[in-house]
Amino acid sequence: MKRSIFLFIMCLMAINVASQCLNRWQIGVGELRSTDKVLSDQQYRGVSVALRALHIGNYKKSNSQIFWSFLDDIKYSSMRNSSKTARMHYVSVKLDFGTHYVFELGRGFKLSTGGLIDAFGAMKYVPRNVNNVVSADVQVGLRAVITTHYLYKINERFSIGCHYGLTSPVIGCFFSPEFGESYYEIWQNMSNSLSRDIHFSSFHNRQGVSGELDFDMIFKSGVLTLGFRHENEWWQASGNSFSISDIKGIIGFALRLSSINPY
Amino acid sequence: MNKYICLMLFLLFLVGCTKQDIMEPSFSAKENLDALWTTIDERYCFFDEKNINWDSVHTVYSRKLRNVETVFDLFKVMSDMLATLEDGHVNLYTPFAVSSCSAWYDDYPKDFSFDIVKESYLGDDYLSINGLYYDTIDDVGYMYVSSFSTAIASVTMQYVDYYFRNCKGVIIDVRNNGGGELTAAEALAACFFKDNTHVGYIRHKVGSGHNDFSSPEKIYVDPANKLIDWSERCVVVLTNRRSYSSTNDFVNMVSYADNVTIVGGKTGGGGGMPLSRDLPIGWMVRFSAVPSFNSEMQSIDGGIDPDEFVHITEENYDAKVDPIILRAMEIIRKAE
Repeated sequence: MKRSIFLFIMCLMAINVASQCLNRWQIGVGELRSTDKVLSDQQYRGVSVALRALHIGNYKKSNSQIFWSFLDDIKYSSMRNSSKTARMHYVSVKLDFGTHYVFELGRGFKLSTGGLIDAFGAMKYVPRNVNNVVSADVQVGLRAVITTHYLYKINERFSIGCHYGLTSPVIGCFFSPEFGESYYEIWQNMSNSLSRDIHFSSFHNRQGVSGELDFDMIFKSGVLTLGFRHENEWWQASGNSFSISDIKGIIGFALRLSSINPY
Repeated sequence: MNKYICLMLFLLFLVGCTKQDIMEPSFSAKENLDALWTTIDERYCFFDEKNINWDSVHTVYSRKLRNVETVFDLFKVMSDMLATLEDGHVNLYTPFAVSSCSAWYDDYPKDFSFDIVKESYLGDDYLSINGLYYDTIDDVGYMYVSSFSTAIASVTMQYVDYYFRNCKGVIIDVRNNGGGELTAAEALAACFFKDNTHVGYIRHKVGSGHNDFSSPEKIYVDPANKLIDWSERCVVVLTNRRSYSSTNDFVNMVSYADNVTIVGGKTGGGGGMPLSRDLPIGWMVRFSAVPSFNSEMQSIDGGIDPDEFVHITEENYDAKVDPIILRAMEIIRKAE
């Protein structure tokens, strides 16, 4: 187990320093809202902080129209319920790997579409509760993504790029306990519980849309990025309902460590 | 410039003035009572077993809202409504009070005084750690487990085992132990088993109807989790009505161990694992949500009878004698 975790971390680190791609590191601060019927009937909201690393590269140098992307995103939030009497600590990790096809729409304008294989895990902890102190969100799925890109070259030393992308869950599977089921029971009867508590997801039980708006100030030596994220997703299973709503301002930088330009 | 600073300070002052008065927050008594009633209606697991007409409870307590003016009035109405469930796992938590119900033990003998145990049996030299009190009483080991809120460390039990190495048997006293972590109770119970043993069932609500339950899942005591091996020792477990919640589960589990005899009074029950929810006003309600059963699929929420009933009388209290401990010592010596 420890070896697998070590290998996984090493793979992540290797991807994060990949040289043949555009590497974008960002930090975001915003507001997160979460509802989770396993923990509470109330909505919890609070400030959240996220760290993101996005890597984009072409599969082949000869074909600049197909490129891959890899995103890792870690988020923490400390939220309070709407009556401000209980606190929820939220930690999530998101990894997605995507393939995109770029269409040239005109001078400076591009449109890319593709799909993402997405793995997401979050732990929500409400210390005030009894027995149901923790709730886990785990999901693996396929997402559709569409992004517009616009590059405005001001001079040889400075240009501005703008990207706006939308993603939406398509199919996948996710974990949700049955209505009223405790995590103690799941732990006691893991083999039975997991087959019952893993749900196939599609538009019928999981909907949402996430958007990312980035402004890149592209200097000769590097890229400064400012952005805005909005993420809204809601899902239901076995009488439980969940939702997440996240709005963030983002700042970061990007390094293009090769001649490859996916955009 | 100064004009802007003054404006900012004025705005900050206004923001400060909007702070809500915590003594009298705005609330809707009806909304909160209805939310509490609905939460219990949809998620409480013992309505049929206790034969409670929850609809009529709503009718009765809704009328009482007419007199509610403060949060204290609302708390009184809500806690009275919850008291109709007569369940020790049902509590209303507010910033100023926690409601509780004592109906489940009021009419039973107390059967325990730790002062008598200390004065008449343990003396001043007993050892204690994290709610665990132990010593030898003549040739018998005595261990009082006052709570399962903290798991007993394996290393602690190894020292206890060594301390009791010359004893003929061990008394485990769980009287007045109100419970705590079920996993802590399981780990201690596992000490008395050689094999993986089926000790009960658990099920949960799968819908909002009073009888919407999942199919029962078997619960086992796995000796692989045991802190030490006491499966060969003669063990007597002492119980009373205040042995509640995970202690009740502990007693149910050890009742399946061949080397364990249970002596004392009927346990308090609390066979429903509690969960909690928020109310719109921000208070929290805890309630029994996941019922558990013994291996014969009988409910253990009402309590578990001991193998031998022994009670402490008023004369015993006056004479500072604990006949439950004396009977346990007798059983151990006879077994030897």
